[in-house]
Amino acid sequence: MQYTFALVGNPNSGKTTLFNEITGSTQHVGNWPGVTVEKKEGKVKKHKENIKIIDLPGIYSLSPYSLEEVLARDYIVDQKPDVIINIVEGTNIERNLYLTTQLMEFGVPVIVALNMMDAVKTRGEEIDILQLEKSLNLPVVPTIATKGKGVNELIEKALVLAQTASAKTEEAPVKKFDELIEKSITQLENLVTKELTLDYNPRWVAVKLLEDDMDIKEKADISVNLNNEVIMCRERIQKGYNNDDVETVIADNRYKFISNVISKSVKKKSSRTLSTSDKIDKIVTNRILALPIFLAIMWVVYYVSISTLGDYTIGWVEWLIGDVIGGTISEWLVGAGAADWLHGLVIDGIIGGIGGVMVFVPQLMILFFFISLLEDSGYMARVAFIMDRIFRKFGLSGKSFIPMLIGTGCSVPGIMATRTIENEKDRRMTIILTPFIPCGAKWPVFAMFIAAFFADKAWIAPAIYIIGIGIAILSGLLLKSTVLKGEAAPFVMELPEYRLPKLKGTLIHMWDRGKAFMIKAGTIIFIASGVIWLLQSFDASFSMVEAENSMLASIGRVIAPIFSPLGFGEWRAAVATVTGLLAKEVVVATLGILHGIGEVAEDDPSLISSITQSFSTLSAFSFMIFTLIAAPCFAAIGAMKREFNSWKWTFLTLGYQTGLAWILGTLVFQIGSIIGLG
Amino acid sequence: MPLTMLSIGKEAKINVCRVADTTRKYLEGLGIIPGVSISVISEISGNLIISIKGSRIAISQGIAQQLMVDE
Repeated sequence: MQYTFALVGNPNSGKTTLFNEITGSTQHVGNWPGVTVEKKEGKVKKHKENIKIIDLPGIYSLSPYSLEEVLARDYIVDQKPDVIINIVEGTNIERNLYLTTQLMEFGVPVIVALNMMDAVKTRGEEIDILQLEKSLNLPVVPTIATKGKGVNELIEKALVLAQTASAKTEEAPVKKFDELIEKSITQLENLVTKELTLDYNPRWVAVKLLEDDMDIKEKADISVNLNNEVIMCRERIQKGYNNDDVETVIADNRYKFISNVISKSVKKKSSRTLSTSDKIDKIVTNRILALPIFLAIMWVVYYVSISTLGDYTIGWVEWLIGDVIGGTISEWLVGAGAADWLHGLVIDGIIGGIGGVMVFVPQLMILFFFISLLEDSGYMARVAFIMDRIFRKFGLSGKSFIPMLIGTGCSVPGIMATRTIENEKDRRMTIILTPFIPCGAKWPVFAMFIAAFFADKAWIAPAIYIIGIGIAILSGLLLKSTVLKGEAAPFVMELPEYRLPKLKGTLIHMWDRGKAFMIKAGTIIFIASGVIWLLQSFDASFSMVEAENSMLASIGRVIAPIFSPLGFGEWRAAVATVTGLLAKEVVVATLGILHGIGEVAEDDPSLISSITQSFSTLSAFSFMIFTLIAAPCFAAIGAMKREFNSWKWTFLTLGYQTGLAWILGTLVFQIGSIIGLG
Repeated sequence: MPLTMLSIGKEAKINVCRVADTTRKYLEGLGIIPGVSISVISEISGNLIISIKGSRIAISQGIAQQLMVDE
């Protein structure tokens, strides 16, 4: 028999940690609300029964607000898991139980995992588990997910619940509301049972109807009779409560019920002192210090990842791939008497192509390490708060900042992180703008051109970043006043307590992100390098020719005129812009292969000297501008399509980005030529 | 008075929540409803970090202006 358990709880309550504990997987855990942006599945490890666990995004209530809340609620309502495991943060029990009061209404068995019991103890609070079980009429298991405590007991109890659920006769639901509301619920419940064919719990539908829930009204085909009844009940409640809003009255009732439960089972220490977290916030979110502190942190992060530690690792990887691996394979191929073309394919094509990309992996890993550190500590959520006022000026909320910051590593997770943004307009805007922030894969391209043409100009690298950010800001302003009109949604975000990040967690997190780059190097770039090398070594009749007469050159010459106004209408450069769609690093690999050197490093002297044949200083700059702004790689385009959930928006965005890139590239080259640069 | 007028560190009770529909439901889920004690931890150009039911929530000035509180 297979069972399905769904993990449901507030954002940042430790669901994913618990999920990892139960399933033995290493899902990404962060310390900001909304880390789990899509549902994840796993199987309970080392268990005789076949139990599937679904980790749902965190939600505060079942009145869906953001996309992830809709996702979580739809799953519970439509898929009907056998048991809902409701994770309740012990240190924040009052607020967390609000969701519990709603989950209780589904008619699906609920078990409460009272998490972070260690933190509860540290605070000197006490929770009477038995009493809590009695008041809620739900099984409660204390857990410490980070240490794996209570997890086995939780699963065993949940299993018992699932196995006995069908045998259990309908119990009278716990009375959470006062007489007036209970009466209305019962009244509507009876009608719902009679009229609706939906496979939903009638009591839940009744409560939702009272709350005037749009979603349920759409799903259930409400009869006129029922609708009238709902209106009558709502009016009656409104009258009974001095014309207070019905939703507020119901919410208030829920919180009253919770206060009642809490007063019986929780012993709180009534200390009014500031917590450590508050003390940190006093400094970090101070109105004067906040921005300087943030800028200082970002400066350190980039300085260490790119200039100091990162730079040091580049030489090391070059040596490893070029000399050690490349050298060994080359010797071996020569020794085995391999044909020239095979030697060329392996050394110049594949190792050259992958090498050009791999040199950046350590730098990216260091950057990812820092970003993970910021997320896990809880600072990332504050950054959103700090940046909100600034972002609001160009039509975005502070929540758009997190995707963009993640986007400096890779646009794909950046675009996915937009799910936490509730407002559709803000979300779309953030998806359109995030690729303008130069991602890690574009570094190799810039680094190569900087080494070749701007070696003595230290300002050019930060300038590229500033141009990217500037384009994002101007595009934001443009979109705000055209297709995506209106102000950004009001900013509301829970700030998690600061936590000392655990090295293991941060490393896992870093590895998850960095892994994608290595897989890319091993797959897309591996194949692309091979294919590009083959295409540039043979002509249409498959005889080996000079690159100038190859198939690739023929293809390149067809598209090259498009880029003439930008100054790089040479077939190799044109080919590189197109192969960049596979992955931006492929641009480096392409140019490397096409200039006939199986070199691993973007700053290799022979690559640099031959690249100067295809580009002038000015056309190199316009090429960088084009790469910065044009459509991102296929992986990011795929992420865009998923998040927009619309081909129309995806193509509009790609058109906008590429069109803008072409125009700006042309402007750079034409104006530059006129004033005599390059 | 609106929450924006409450000085940092002082505790008050929410009186009325004038925020529009969907956002209000979200606020309810976060425990921001009339009758609840609230205090302000810090402020940056109008945006606030508030303390409510033991958690810390960042809200924009727009929302703070629509939350009426009594000291």
